Amino acid sequence: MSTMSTIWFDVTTIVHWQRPPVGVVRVEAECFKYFASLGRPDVRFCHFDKRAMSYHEISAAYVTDIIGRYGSKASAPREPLPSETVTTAKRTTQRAERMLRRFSPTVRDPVLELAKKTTPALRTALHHYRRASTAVGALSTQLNEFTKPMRASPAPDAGPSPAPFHSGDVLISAGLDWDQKDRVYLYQLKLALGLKIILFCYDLIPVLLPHLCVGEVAGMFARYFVDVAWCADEVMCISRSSQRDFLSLVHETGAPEPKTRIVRLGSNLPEHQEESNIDDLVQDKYLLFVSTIERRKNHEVIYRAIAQLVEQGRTVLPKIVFVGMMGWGVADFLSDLRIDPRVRGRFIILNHVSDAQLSQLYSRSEFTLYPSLYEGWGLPLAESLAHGKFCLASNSSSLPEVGGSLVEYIDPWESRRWAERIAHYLDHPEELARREKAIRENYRAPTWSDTGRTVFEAAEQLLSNSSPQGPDASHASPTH
Amino acid sequence: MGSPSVLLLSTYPILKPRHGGQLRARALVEAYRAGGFEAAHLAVVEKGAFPRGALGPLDVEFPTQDPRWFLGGQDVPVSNDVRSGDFAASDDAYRRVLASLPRKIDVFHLEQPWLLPLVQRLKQEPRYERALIVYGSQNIEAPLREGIFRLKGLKHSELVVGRVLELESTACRLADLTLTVSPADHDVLQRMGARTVLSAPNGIEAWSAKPRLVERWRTKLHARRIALFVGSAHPPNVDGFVKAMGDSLGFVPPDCRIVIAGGVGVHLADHYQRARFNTLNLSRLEVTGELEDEELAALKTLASVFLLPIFEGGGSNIKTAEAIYSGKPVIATSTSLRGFDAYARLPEIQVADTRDAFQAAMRKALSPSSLAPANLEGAGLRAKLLWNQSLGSVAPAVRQLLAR
Repeated sequence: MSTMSTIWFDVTTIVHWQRPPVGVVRVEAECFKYFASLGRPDVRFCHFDKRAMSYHEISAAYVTDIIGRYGSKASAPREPLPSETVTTAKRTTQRAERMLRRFSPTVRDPVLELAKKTTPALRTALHHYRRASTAVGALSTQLNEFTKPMRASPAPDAGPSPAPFHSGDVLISAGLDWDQKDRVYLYQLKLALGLKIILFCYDLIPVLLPHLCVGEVAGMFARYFVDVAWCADEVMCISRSSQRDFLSLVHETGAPEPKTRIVRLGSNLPEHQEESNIDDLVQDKYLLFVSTIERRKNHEVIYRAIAQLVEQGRTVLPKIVFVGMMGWGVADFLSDLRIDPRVRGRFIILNHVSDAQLSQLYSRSEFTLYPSLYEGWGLPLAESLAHGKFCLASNSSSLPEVGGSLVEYIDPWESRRWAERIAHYLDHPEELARREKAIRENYRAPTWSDTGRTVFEAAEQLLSNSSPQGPDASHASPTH
Repeated sequence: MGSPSVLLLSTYPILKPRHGGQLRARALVEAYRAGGFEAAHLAVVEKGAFPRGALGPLDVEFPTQDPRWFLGGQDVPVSNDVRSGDFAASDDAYRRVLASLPRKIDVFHLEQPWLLPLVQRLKQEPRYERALIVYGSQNIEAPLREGIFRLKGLKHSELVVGRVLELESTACRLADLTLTVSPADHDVLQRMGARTVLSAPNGIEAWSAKPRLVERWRTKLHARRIALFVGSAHPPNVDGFVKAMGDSLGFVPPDCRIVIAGGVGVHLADHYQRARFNTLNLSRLEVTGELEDEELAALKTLASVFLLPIFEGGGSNIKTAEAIYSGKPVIATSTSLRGFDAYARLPEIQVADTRDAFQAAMRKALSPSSLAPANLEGAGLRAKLLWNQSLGSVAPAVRQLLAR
């Protein structure tokens, strides 16, 4: 490994995040922890300032402080079902959120969080509901800006603006790059410096299943992944399924094929110090389904299965607990849950649960459900196994990679089969126990350290293959 | 005895030439003038197709929707040019044309065969009966037209193609001199009855761009490299581009652009907007629309690569000549290089006849390590592409015929 070169880990997403890390944010945060734990002088951290169009170094201590502040104090407000009283202020909030739900979670969630805290338009809407339409319109305009294809990059002749990188360095980015980065700028940096770049591919769902996302976002993501192919020396894919999807898109679009590598995401929840009590959240027996509530996650098949069981005369059933934020495209589904007398009172929706609460929810569940139509990986399935809990899972995309033979897979469209197998495991606790025993004996949850180590090894290999370019390997300077 | 006079006839005006045919017609007029001729131009143009300001003093508008000029009583598409000769030779139009012409014309230069009926009728006038006919073939038109009808699935191709063949072969037989743009067409024209065939390939005008405009485009396009495609809205230009590039432009690096100038752009923008990967595609495309010459000169100066994705058509292409003349990398189909065989061996010319080959050549040409500056070798060869050289032998050859 060259003594001159540095491995840079990009923490842009962490520094912009405001609440407990989930999904992509957790990956970046956990990888950061691993990289920071190495304590090596040649491992440094940076973030991208999109307004200034430049990268800046940031200290590990500063990032650690950010993560520490947003990590564990979340409350677990119960998400009101549509039947519950909604105040005018809540209605205004929901109106704004409904508009936001048109966007995919990857775009929407960070926007919503940021918007709630920082966007004057939404703040105005929340406090002055009579002016909500105007305010939401203003927010919509801002969102359009947020989601439109990138345009502004520094003039190519001027080359990229100064960055802390040196020729031959490796830059790793695992965050919400489609929103927070400028790929043209990144590509220019790569050309100007001979920078080696590692990027992540979580999933190609917006490209493959555009009907489950907003059209413009689907287009944006196709462009994003093609740009990833151009920018990256290596792409970390979180499953063989994602790798296959990514390479398929690369070939279809004519983009160059970068090296790819599978990286398993950790499924060990962070150890929590705080006490947690979920008794006020759910008192009965329950089956657990952890996921954002949106069409792709296919909550509806569970609703149909439960309704069918009730129709069959099975009135004593455990509660179904959905843990996750509200997504888009589920208004009719939620309305069904509220109106359908067969299922009224049988579903509980929880949001903003802490890690400790989530861990307890897994542990106390009878078993878990994961009927998703498509996944890049399927972290809730892995977490279920990590908690020793059996899962009835969809047989789609990457999920069989996650659960192997420890899980039972069902076609996500066949609600009767879901009903049948749910009833089966409720009626056969001894089989459930056998399943849980097999999980305890055979499942080894990938740890986030494993994840961080895989990424770090990829970076080290790139570093050992790269050599500083140009006579002056100091700061970034244009070579064209 | 004064200077010999020539009347060049075509179906497009040449005051403000845009497309290849117009450029060639104007260059011919200038070549005649440079050769000591008094040269005038008459166009029979589709009514409403050109703004009034673009029409010359002798130009006549053809009401294409008048059923009297339908082919076989059918309103057949893609046949306005074919029908324009019958209109121009009809009594009313002919009288207007005749009244506007100079009394002395030594040479009728029929650029493409469309106005042959008019020339034939003019030749019956005593004052023009001794005039020579020069037939300027730009393509072997009949198979080209048949191909367009087949590609578009249009009806009544037999009406049009039969008429085109008749006009073309008659023009060959009647012409005292036939000009061809490519060696490949030479033999065909002879077999169609041409007595004397002279090579007069398409050429170009050298361009020099204003630095201010180059800078403006550089700022606007904001790209490390640009690949330039210039084309009219002629359907084969649209089809050729899509055939060569495919429906996704992911092979273009994020900091590069394909710039499309000319009427073809709006059709290609529409195609790529409708394609599955539209956001990706539009991030790699810049469509300028029709441009003034000086703007186009700036783009040609700025371009890193010239694209010639042409799969149909005969003759030789002015866009090809311009691309080669640039000395920059050119990615071209074999078809687009017809008539430029001598240039195909230049190192900057990359022949690509399939989508995969075109995309691979694009990736290579737009990569940071590719040949970016103009290739200075072959400059002498490229100079032959200028109109004054490519058409240099026309006026002397016609003078020689007149002397007989």
